[in-house]
Amino acid sequence: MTSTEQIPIEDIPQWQKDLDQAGFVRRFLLGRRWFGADWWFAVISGVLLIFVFSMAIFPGLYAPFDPRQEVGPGQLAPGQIPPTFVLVGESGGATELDDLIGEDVRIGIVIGSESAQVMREVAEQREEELKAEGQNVMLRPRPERYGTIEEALEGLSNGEVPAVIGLKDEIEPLLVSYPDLVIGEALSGNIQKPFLLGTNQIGQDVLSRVIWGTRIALLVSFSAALFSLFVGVPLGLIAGFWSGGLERVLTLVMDSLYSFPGLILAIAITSVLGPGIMNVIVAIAVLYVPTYYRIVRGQTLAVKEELYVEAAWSLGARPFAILTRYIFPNVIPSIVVIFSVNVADAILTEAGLSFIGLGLPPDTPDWGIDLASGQNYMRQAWWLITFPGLMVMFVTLGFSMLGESLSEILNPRLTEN
Amino acid sequence: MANNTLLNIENLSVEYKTRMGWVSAVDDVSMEIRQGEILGLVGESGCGKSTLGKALLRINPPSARISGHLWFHGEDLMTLDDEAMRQIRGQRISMIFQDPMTSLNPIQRMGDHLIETILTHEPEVGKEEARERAAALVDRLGISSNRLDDYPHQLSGGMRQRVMIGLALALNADLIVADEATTSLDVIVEAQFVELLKELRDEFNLTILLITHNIGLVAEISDRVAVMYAGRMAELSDARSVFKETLHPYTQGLLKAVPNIQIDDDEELYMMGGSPPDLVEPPMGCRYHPRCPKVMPVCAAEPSHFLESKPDHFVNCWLYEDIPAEYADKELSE
Amino acid sequence: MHISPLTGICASSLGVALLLIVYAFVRGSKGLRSYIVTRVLLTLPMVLILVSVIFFVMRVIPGDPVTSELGPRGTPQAKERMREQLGLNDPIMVQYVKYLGRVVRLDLGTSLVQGNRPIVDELSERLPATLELVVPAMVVAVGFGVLSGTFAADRRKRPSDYGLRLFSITVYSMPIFWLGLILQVIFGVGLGIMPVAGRIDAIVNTTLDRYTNLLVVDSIITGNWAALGSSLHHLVLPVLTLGLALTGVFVRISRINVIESLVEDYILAARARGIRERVVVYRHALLNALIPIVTLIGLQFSVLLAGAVLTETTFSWPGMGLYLVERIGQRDYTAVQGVITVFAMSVAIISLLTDIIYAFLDPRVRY
Ligand SMILES: Nc1ncnc2c1ncn2[C@@H]1O[C@H](COP(=O)(O)OP(=O)(O)OP(=O)(O)O)[C@@H](O)[C@H]1O
Ligand code: SF4
Ligand SMILES: [Mg+2]
Repeated sequence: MTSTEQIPIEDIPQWQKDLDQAGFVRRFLLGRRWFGADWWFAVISGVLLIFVFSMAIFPGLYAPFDPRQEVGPGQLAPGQIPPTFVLVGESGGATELDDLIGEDVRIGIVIGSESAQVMREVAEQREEELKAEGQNVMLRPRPERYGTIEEALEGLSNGEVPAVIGLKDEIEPLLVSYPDLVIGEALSGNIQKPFLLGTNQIGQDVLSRVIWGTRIALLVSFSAALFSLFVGVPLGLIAGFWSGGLERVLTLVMDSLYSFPGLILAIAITSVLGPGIMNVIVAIAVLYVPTYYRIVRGQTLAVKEELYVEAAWSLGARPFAILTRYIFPNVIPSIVVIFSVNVADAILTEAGLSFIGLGLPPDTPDWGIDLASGQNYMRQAWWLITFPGLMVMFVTLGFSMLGESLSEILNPRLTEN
Repeated sequence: MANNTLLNIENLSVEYKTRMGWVSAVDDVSMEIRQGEILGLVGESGCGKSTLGKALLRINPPSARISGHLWFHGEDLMTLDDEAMRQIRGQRISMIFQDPMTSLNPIQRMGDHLIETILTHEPEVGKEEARERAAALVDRLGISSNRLDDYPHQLSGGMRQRVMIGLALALNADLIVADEATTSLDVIVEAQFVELLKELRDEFNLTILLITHNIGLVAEISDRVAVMYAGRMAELSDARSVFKETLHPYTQGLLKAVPNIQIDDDEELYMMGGSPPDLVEPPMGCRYHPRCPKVMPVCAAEPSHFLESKPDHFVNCWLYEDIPAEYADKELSE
Repeated sequence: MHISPLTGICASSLGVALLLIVYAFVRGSKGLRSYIVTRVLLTLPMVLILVSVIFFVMRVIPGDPVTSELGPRGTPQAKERMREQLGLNDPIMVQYVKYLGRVVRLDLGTSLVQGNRPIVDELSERLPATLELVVPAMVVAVGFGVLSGTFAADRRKRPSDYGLRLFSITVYSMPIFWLGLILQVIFGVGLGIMPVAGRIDAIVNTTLDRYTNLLVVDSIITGNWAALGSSLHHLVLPVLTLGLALTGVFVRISRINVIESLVEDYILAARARGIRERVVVYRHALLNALIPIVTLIGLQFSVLLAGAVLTETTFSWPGMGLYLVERIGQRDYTAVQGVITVFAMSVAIISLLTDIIYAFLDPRVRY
């Protein structure tokens, strides 16, 4: 006997047949068993991203304040209650701001404290209010500066000034020695709740800025990644499909661009284009075109050689039909993965550009900008650099985790055994 | 035949954890491998031959769960720790794989493969001596020893397979598991290779477990033949008995499906009906029953046992076993 | 004869590169030789393309360097003078050819702000600082990243694998400058044990004679141990920042490639021969995986440079990245174009080197 007949090889594995029968939802749930932690990575990052998207679309629902408005005292630590300033007057004398209407009214304050500023702001505000009510009055008290709060209270009880403005917590214990003085109106009392993440150097709410920053970050990164997708994928398909001289030149250009540090290219482009959200989007989009181009071209080249594509050719299918029907579906999984990785990268690049001071106008509620300005106050206010950075990290993490687990799930080369 | 057992396999089962559940790739296999024999192991693709071969060295992937006993020189290999088992591999039991191209490390020179193997197991041997031994070995296998410094891709397919044998022989292992070692070779090289195997067996008193799809090859060089179906042992005896006095219905089908060169042109090749079962949920009873032409009621309900029905001829089929009373009645009533 | 440090460093690194190439050329087979020749020849168009892209990006897209330098208030005469000086009145192709000619001669023009100093001289002070930051960071990242990536691959789907992967994605997702800021807050501000800016203490600096401008090297050759300590001390946080940021990428790359080589048949065969598990993973699998890893690491060089720009900005590290950022702020257009050109050329050279190392490492390469 010299025959060498071989027993036919088993074709499609059973689980794949079963999978084709399972419905979409069931398949999704089954994935948990098949892909273990990768499934969890994908689902968790998906949930995280849905949350982030809702934040980007409706920042107003989440943010307690307007991100650009100065809503509190500067550099208030997270959870710290804004200090209360009060008006102190002699009992029977002035206990409210309205009692101090007139020219050349002097109010005692401590040098270097925020009392003077509070006084000015509150007085201006009150004057406006009164004007709206139709009373045209003058409410412009002038500060009388004292070295310490004790000196100021002394001056008040001596009759040097009709009232003193100071911190409630400082004044209260001292009043024992000044029985004739009483605490009057609270002057900075509109917000007595602490700011969850503190305030920045000019008194904007960090939480609100961080939430509104989501919108800018996602706007820029999504537009940029989509833009490069729409340029890179068709170019890659065409270049992989019709090889030739032009394709070689294009590939060389794309490879060179790909090897060049993205951030530096973006810096070059924005430094010439100047600031502006569109310019940033364009600068970042340019960076990712080569990524799509390379991957899509490589896969197109590989799929083109597959038997079923050759068969389609021989059956007389038109090039366009082959491209759209056979080749394009094959590159979709990679495109999905690259897209989510690119969005992640774009968020980082955008933050990097604004950190350097390129890109967006300085007042934009943007994480990179906030980080750059927070760096100057690093010594006093750790929260200014902590939270915007954490936010960049979480959102980027969501996208890269999604990309990573998708590539682990979709990559046939990594399927075990 | 004298009972000079080298390796006694007892109730060996191997299961793989997969996405759809546990695959029962080898189920309750018991058999012995005798000193100095060439034991052919045949069966359809996916019936668990490689799994069984790998289980003898305990190199199944981590997703596998193995149970049973492997008695080897009075020791149960299943009870050895990883380090002791590692020392058995290559030194006492070695394995030759199907594809010699991918089974050699592409960035390691041929000689380094051999030297590394020798030095791993015999650290007291010097580098020079190991190299000399490697040279002598490849020389014996018909490769010029000045090719020791070649990389695998520089060798021909036949040469690579010889290197693989050399690796298996380097430490005079008692048992060599050859898993489809000839599949990737062309017919002429294959014939040379088989000749070489026989010579080596006589020269080194080797014991070889020859896993293959090639029934012709098995008939030619095996002393005994084992037939597997869907993870279970179907039939085991000396080659002549298996081929001429075939007992198991599956073996009969398998042999009929082998084309014969002398066959008349108009004689159709037998095609076995059905397809091998899904091993995640294998059929109840005899795993062959959905395809068996001689199926009986009992076959679908109870598994038969692997018994010695004739002297030294083992078979796993209800045809050769006493059927339990309740099923015997059924058959009568039918 | 005075040799500027930039020329020195460029010459010596080019020399090392050349030596490597020649070594590979001599040791390698005929196939490798012709590959090296082709690859070297391919580098020229790559440099040309990069340099041209830079030129056209800086020149063709809307935005006028003169306006942006002088600001909208510059008088027409001043603008005109500047255009003349920068050669902006020539037709674009003439400018392009002139620019290429200067690049070939390593003449990057003169600064517009620092009293017309040649850019090359300025960069010769900055390049060593960047090298001193980038090289140790790369070593840290490669060493740690490749080893732990291999470890994760070996334990695929076990908790330590998931842990390492989570770690790598997390550091990869951190903005590198933020990582630097956090390290500054913790170790510089909070614990007060690390400097947060500069390369060396100002006082020590005055005692150090500079030859190469690589402070660590200079302090060793002059035996100035105080300077050595101070410069190492200043290096810790920036190197950690840049290194950690890159580690994430390297863990990923190594893990995937080692996993791919761990499922190869020769790994099973090596195990079947009783080769020790450690040897199987770290010699057989890792060495095979190293070939693609080297290429991928070569590609990460661009990530390294981008990271260096941000790290230098965060730590006021006077290297090329900070130079770029400073000069953008000062609207020093020639300096910006010059420094980006240098970045481009180093990218091309590194990519050439990694490709040749790849071909040399892999005995199978037959082009
Ligand atoms: N690592 C694994 N994980 C899950 N299932 C596996 C694994 N390896 C093998 N199997 C399954 O176990 C069964 C037996 O496989 P095995 O490779 O032992 O068959 P074989 O008889 O060697 O086949 P062939 O003749 O094709 O080599 C098959 O159904 C196969 O699908
Ligand atoms: S046990 Fe029954 S089904 Fe199985 S082989 Fe024997 S006769 Fe056929
Ligand atoms: Mg097999």
